[in-house]
Amino acid sequence: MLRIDCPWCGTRDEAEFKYGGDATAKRPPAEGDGAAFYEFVYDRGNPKGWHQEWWHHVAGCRQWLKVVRHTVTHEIRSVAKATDDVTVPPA
Amino acid sequence: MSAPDRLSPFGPEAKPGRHGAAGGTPVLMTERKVDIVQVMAGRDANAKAANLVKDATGLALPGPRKVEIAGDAMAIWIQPSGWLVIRPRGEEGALAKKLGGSDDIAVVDQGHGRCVLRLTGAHAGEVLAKGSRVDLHPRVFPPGSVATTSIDHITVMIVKLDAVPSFDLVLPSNFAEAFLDWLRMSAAEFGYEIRPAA
Ligand SMILES: [Zn+2]
Repeated sequence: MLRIDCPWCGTRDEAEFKYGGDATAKRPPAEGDGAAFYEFVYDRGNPKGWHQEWWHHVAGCRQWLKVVRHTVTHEIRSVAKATDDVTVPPA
Repeated sequence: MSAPDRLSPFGPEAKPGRHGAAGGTPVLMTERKVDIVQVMAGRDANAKAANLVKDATGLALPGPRKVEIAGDAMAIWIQPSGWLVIRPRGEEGALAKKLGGSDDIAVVDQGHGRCVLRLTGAHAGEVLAKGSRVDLHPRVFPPGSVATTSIDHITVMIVKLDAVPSFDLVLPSNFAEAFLDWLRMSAAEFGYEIRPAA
């Protein structure tokens, strides 16, 4: 069980959250071609190490949060608001 | 001719009376007859929303994890730029109408959508702790705190009122009966009393 320190609600159990995937994927412009959208929707890396990802505090404040988590140890380095810039430690 | 009494969202099983273990200090459960209005402020409109609520109810809007209580009315922080204003039931829709709203402040009557159950007694915290993942210890959750969480898969706002401890639980009305089922099971070992709605 992960414990996620929501900047709004305080530290809560993972069960209150919903995982939202890679927080670095950027939506291509509307006039972008099909390949760019395919990549945005379906192509994801499978990194071993630090990962910047979305979590939705769906059973709490209902805000989207940016979490830096290690995919091997599950250590959470930081939890930020959706609009914050976050730093990801080197692998 | 006046409108008929509203049906309780807690259902026919919520008959007043003493249940569960006998002898100890029972946990008291009381449905609160209240009006509930949700206030959501748009970008940079928090101060405007605060003025709106202050003018209409006298309540100040609290910051994250806090509830503002004045007499039998309260304002609960539910999310950034979002609050619930709760006060004793008056004329249907009157509180929402009084609050009004504007193009950057949404005011939504939740008087039917949500309901409030007051839980009070020495064991009230233990009853909640069995299903809640929130730390309810007074050191981190003193009176005046609020936490939205999930109990028995139902989204519940837990408002801590005093050190007895007493809590107001804000629930979606369509899950009130299911929640009461869980609550009765959890409270049975201490004994509990369902009070008439007030
Ligand atoms: Zn939260």
